[in-house]
Amino acid sequence: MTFRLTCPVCGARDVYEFRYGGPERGMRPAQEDLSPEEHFRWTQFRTTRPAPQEEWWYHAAGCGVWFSTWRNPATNREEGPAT
Amino acid sequence: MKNVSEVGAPVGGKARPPRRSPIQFQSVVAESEHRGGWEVAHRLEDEGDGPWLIDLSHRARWDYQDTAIGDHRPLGLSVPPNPGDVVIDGGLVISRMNRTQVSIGHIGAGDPPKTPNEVAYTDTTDSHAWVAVLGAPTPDVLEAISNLDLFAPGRQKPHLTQGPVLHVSCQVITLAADGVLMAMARGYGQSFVDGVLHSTRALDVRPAGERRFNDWTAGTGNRGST
Repeated sequence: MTFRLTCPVCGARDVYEFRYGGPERGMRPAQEDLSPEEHFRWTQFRTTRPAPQEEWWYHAAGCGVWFSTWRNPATNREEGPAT
Repeated sequence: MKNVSEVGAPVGGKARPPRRSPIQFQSVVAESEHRGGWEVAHRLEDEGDGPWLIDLSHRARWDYQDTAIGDHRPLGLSVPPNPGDVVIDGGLVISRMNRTQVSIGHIGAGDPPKTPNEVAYTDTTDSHAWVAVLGAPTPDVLEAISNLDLFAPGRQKPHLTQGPVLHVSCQVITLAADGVLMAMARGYGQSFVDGVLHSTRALDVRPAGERRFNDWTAGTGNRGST
């Protein structure tokens, strides 16, 4: 299995040049009044749905930049969010 | 094992220890010169008629980084506007790596400029291995060792490509259809050139001395400079 991702510096490259950084999770929640369960859920839980999601990728074998992009895990195509 | 003081650097003295290229070819050195602490091979025996693989690890290299890099002229050079752009000027090749960084290498004749005493500069000479592939079959050589599209007709040469060659992360500068520079972390140098020579036996790639590179750059002038 392979597909291509678009690095903002280098352009479209083979996915084997990249490392996956997980889905975008938003800002770290404020620590005040944060329950252990909520903290555990934010740090440990990941969600991958068969629909476009925003993800972090690292161009490890190329320019070394971290970037976020939208990808559909069901098709491995770069697709933006449904509007 | 010898320590540094035994190989030529008296404590507090002026002499610096010998600098060793990370690359050692099997070929016999026919002519060489001691330069800047390096033993530089001008010519190797049995270099053949090309394509050639040339060790340039002794050549000076710098990284320059600033958040407003476009407003600067590192070593008096214009900063290429976009990542992947390369400019050759005054014996130096400057390539734009990303939004904030360029790499600069000395490819001309004579001594390289001294490193300016500014925090934006990092002298990377001793931390990189740097090689050139020269000769008409250069695209065939690179085709054998990388999936990168280094000779796309739509890209104006010279240009920079950052990506894997023989699975090693490299900065590849395509100077021309018959000349490519590749820089990588120093520790990969020896196994990298061993891999290149092994993978391209059918093309008869041979190690060569620095003179081949000097002749090539002199023959092409400032090809691709802006």
